[in-house]
Formats: sequence, C-alpha cells, structure tokens
Amino acid sequence: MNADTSINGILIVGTGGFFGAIARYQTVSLIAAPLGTLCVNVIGSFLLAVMMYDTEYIGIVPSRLRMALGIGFMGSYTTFSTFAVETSQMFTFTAALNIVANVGLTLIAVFLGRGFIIYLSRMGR
Amino acid sequence: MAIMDLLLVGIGGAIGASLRFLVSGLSPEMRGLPTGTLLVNIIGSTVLSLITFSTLNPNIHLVNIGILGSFTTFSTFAFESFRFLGQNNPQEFLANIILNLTLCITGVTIGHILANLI
Repeated sequence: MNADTSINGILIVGTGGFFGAIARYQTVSLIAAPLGTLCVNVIGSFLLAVMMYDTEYIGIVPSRLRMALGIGFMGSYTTFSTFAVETSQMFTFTAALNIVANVGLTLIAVFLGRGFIIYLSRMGR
Repeated sequence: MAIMDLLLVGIGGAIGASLRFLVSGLSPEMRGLPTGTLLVNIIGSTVLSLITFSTLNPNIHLVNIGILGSFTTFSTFAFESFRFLGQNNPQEFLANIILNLTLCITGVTIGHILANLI
C-alpha cells in the first residue's frame, strides 16, 4: 500500500480512522457480535477492494482520498483483534466456522469488489 | 452518554489507525509477504486479549473498540491475500492466511496467560 509517512499522511489516515471506528461501533450495535464483526469485515473488504482496484482499472479516486478511505476508514471499520478474541472464546466447531466464514467471505467480497470495478471500467468504454 | 461513547470510539479509532499506518510502514517486507499488516494484527490481538481477560479496566470505548479495534485490520489482510491469487502465487496466499490466523490466535493465548498473571 501507498506509504506516505508524513504528518499529513497520519492526519489523513487518522481522520478516516475516526469515522471508520464509529461506523463499526454503529454496525455492531445493530447486528450483535460475532455476526456484527463478520458483517463489518465483509462489507469493509468489498469497499476496500473497490477503492484499490479503481486505481488499477479506472482511477477516479484521488490518492489522498484513497488513503483516507482505504487505509483510514476501511482499515478501522474492519478488525482482526476483535475477530481473534471472539474466536478464542468459542467452542472448537463454532470457532472453526467463524474462521472459515470471515476468511472465506472477505476473500469473496474482494473478488466481487474487483469484479464490480472491472464491470464499471468496461461500461465506461 | 451515547454521544460521549461515540466520540471516544472515534478518537480511539483515529489513534489506532494512525498507529497502524506508522507501525505497518516501519515493518520490513519479508519474502514478499505483507508483514506490516501481520505485525499490527499480532500486536493488536495480543494486547486486546490481555486487556479483555485481565482485571485492568480501561475505557472500553476508547481502548478496546476504538484504539485496538482500529489498530488491526481485516480488509487489508483480505485484499493482500487475494492479490497473491491474482499473481498466481498460491503458496504466498496460503502462507499469509495461515500466518495471520495462527500468530494472532497464539497472541490471544499469550495475552490470556499474561492477564492471569497480573
């Protein structure tokens, strides 16, 4: 990922992180954990893929906005630590199911995000 | 205070995201694997476990949900793993997933053990 480790970059990522964490908190208050954690991870992975593949195929998202939304917002909206701690509190079968669901569905979400961008880029031609 | 809780989650999120940006940027790349994301995920999972299972009682909105929730990331992990498939690198794809899962869950176990010692 783009690493502009200036104060400016930190501020841009921090601002995205502010809103991403609030959005995650709101989503999980609507859909209780661990399903809420799965939801933020899947939605966030789809949107991150849309942003990153836009750069590759279309290029309408400016790099600063991609930093704020991709690294800041989506990075904070999704979470690995909560997923790991929640999984450790489950019984073996449920834990395995939770791992397969989070990894499998986020990978499918990235695939669909890329597909969406490729579709848009072909529409635009 | 719902508004206050939201604000604390947001401030924690800004701190967590900035720290993730800094720490993952400092991490050297090894064997082409995205070790920055791996490193923040291991640290964040270990510390969250330590705090969750200990008698330490930080502000849950600021520290647990805000800072530690935002310091780690699943979307970048999924994106970086998927990219290996596109590059026809099934070994790196599997290695990245297995390393994140096993090391973060090991971190949670270590955090839990440390929590019991405090």
